[in-house]
Amino acid sequence: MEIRSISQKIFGTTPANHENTANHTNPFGVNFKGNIIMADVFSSTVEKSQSFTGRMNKLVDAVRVGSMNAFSDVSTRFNSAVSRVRTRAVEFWDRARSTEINFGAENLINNLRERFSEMSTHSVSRLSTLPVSDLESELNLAIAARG
Amino acid sequence: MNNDKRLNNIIEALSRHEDDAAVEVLERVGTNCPDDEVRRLTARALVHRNTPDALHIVVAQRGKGVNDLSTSVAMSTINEILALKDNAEALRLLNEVEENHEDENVRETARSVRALMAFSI
Repeated sequence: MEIRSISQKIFGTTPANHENTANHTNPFGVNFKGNIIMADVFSSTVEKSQSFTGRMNKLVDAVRVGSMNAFSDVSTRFNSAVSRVRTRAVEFWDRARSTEINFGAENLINNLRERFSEMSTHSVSRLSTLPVSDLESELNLAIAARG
Repeated sequence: MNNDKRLNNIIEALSRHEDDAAVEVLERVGTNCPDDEVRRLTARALVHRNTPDALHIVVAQRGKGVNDLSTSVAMSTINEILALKDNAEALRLLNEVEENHEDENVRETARSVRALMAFSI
């Protein structure tokens, strides 16, 4: 007795069964009324009323109409935005023309002028030309200012 | 210009002044001032002037210059003397004070300053 024949008797496996299981896609090898389903076959209950070309045409038309609406919105928005910008620019310019801008340059220049004159007045070279009596007065004032 | 800068410039101007009466003003007003900073600036100005009458005030007089009661004023004056480029007159005066001055403390200070000058050369 061959080993293969022994295993076939024990496990019930037959070459025919192997061939059958290798062919169909059903992993469970389910038998329906004794017949093994060889392939997955699904049939739709809804009949296809339109052809593929018809469906594509519909899709194209829908896209075209939709894009036409979007473009028109964009142009409208663009125009309104441009007009808004123009209006604001005109308002800004009108406001700017009527506004007086003063950086306080006069005060700054006056401060600088005062400081420079003070520096030059109390510079060492300038003070050295003063009489000693004047310098003594200046010295007393500076000492008194220290508190 | 703030007052400290102004004060410094006035004292410096007196130090450079051509009129020797400036030394008398510095001594009378500056070295007798209760303010340490004023005395320090005045002593420095007198050292910078580098004349015998100006150096005599900061080296040989009690309570002024190197003999000031304030340590900071005294040390500042010593530093100015050590920094002098032409220190011949200062050395001569220090020798004279060390040998002839009536006050022992003044003599000791002059000896110390002269020794420091010898080390710094």
